[in-house]
Amino acid sequence: MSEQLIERIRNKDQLAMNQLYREYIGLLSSVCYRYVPMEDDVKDILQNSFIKIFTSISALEYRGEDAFRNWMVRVVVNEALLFLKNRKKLQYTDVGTATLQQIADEGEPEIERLSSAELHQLISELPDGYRTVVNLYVFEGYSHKEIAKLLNITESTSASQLFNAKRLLEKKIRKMLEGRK
Amino acid sequence: MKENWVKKMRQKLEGHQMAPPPGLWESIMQQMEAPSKPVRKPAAIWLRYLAAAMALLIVGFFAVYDSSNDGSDTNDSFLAEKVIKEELSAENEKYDIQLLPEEKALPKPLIAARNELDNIEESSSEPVTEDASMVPHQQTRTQDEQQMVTQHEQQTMPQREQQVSEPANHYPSATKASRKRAVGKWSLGVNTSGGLLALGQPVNNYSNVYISYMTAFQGTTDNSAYSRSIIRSERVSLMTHHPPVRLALSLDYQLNRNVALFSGINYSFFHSEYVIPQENLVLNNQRLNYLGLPLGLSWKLWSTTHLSFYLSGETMIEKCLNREPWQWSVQASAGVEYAFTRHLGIYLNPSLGYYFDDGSSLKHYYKEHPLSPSIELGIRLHLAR
Repeated sequence: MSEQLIERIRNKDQLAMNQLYREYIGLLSSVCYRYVPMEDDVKDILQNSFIKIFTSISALEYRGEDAFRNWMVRVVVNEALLFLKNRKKLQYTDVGTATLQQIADEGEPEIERLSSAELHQLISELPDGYRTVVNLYVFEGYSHKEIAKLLNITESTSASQLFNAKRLLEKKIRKMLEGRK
Repeated sequence: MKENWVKKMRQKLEGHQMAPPPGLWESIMQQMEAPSKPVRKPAAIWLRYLAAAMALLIVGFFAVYDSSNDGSDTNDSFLAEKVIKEELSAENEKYDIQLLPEEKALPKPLIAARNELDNIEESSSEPVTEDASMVPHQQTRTQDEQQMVTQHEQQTMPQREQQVSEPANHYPSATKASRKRAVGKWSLGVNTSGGLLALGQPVNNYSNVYISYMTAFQGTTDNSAYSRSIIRSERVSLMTHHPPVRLALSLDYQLNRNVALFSGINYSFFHSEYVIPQENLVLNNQRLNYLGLPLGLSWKLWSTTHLSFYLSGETMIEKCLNREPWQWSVQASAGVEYAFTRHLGIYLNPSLGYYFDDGSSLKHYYKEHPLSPSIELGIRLHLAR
């Protein structure tokens, strides 16, 4: 990604827009599917995200490719959170803490044995509340305090959602790995 | 796993890519090439509730509104009914007349008319003798009637004079608000009102004008065998007020996205009739013409591609072209417009107006119904920039 390409996008060059799209659509689709599993919803979110990217890129100060990529990811994440908050009431489920604690005692599953697609799929199968907190904490690097503010929940809720999500994910991973044997 | 678990997860999905939903790029380009539209937020819930409440209120009002009897003509009606009741009682006692069930259901004036016709028929067909038992009875009745008639004349003749001699002066108004669509700031509207209400209303929007008089004559037959005694004749005249018909030309100016200022010019036509129902006779017609100048604001509540819902409030001053009075009114309405194109729409404005007393003695529809609903139907042209 070069500054020249960004400059062309600022000048409404559709070829430049398409080039940017082709370069990042795989990554941004993966990010979006992690938050929202349904294809139609993902399409809406990505469409809004790219329109925002193309229209607000003129005000962006280019600070390197990594920063640019992270900015685009943040745009997609924000749109996904907006979608979840507005159109789909986030529910913070409780899947039986005792059961999850029992699972935890069985030891850590070997994540490295999973493919990225398999892990992505297992994350996307988590309940909405678990999935959202896992995404924000694990992949976006937010603290529980920041998550609480973003989702309008308490820090303890965020923490318990993450704890339960971990346990449920471990169970799913273990089950998937055992299925291979 | 803890933080180690987190690191493993991040590493595993770092750089992970997925195929986008089909047709995404085309959708993005389609959206980018579309004329930039302001992002429309869905209407706030309370606005939708307000629109629904307004619609229910207006529909409810029209459902229960009885323009033929809103209590404003109670004085005249009450007097007339009271007198008729007393008379009927006296008549029944005298002639031992029993009201048939269907007669009880008839309006009092019509019962009176029927009885009157019966009396006339009896008096004219039956030989009236100089029977001593009959004469005092008739004389007594005549005295009572004379007293009653005097009372009637005192009470009703001034009204009659007013109604017959004075053209009506009130003038309704119902110019309605307009609401705009994007195109330009100006809109031009033409609407009419009154017709829809008139269709659904009976002809009994009347003021009772009780005209009583004595007709005395001595009838003789060819053989002079009979003489006719004094026959009392009463006639009940009803003043029927038809809902006014209005034609309006309105001009709207969009102050901002949702609020428009509107004015225009209105022409209203009032028609009233004096009738004697028992004789199916129209005594007189009263036709009044008013020109009005409305001024108001409309507020768009909610809109979709083709439909817009809005509220409006206005005040209007009207001048009677036939007489002196000026009529002032205020109105509130909730309307809906269906846009066939960006420049042309049809709209319907149910409204509720209050027509202040103009201080004159002129009688017309809005004197009887100061609080009155109306429905405007019109077309609106949204002028280009």
